[in-house]
Amino acid sequence: MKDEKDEKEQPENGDEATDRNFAEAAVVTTSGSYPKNGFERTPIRQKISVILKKAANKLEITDTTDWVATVGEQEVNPDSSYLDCGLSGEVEIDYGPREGGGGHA
Amino acid sequence: MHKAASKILFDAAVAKLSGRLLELRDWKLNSSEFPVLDITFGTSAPDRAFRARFTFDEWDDLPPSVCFLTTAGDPARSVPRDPKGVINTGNHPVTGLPFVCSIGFREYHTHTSHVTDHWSNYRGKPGYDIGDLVTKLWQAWKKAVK
Repeated sequence: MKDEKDEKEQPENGDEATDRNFAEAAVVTTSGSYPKNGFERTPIRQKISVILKKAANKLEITDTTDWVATVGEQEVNPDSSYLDCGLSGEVEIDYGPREGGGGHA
Repeated sequence: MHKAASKILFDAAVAKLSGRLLELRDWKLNSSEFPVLDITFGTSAPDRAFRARFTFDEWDDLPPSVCFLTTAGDPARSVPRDPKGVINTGNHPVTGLPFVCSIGFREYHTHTSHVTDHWSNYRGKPGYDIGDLVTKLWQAWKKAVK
């Protein structure tokens, strides 16, 4: 099994092929963004959870239980890769808690 | 909590609601002067836009009070209900207005159905800071207008 962090994408045919193997990813939360500005170059076969964990660590978010990651209107499974979710290019991932439960008052 | 200490907490949290986040979530801060956070969700779609005024007086001894507003800034008497009932379209026994019926919001904890579920059980815990609470209402609104 490949170690996601060490996964290296091999260029297929020059720079263009190399670019197709990467997404430019960023995580946006109410505690800040990761990276702070711009995007992080990320292999498209890497699980989305990798950058979510980096963001939580960097932004000192201690508990992401029941948080949801969305790209546009699409909720994404953190255990999926960018490729699995059809994501490419610049990908801004919104990350935050779900709405919680209603009190049914 | 002392007002000055409350304001420090408020200002620190609200300062992070800026730039990239506002653009990505399509939020607009109409006012962010302590203790009021007046925010509009869905600003690019005026027919769906949703405005709420959070009041963080005595934060975080007390949870925020939330009043839904019309886009003009008047109290809203009609709001969309989300599937989970976080946005309660009924009238709150104290305010007489639709309210947020979910843990972490003042109108939940002061509702006759929940007065025994104290804010102190949640205060300071993950999921109940200012950004989290605003996000939760936003998530509920998105489901309500979906």
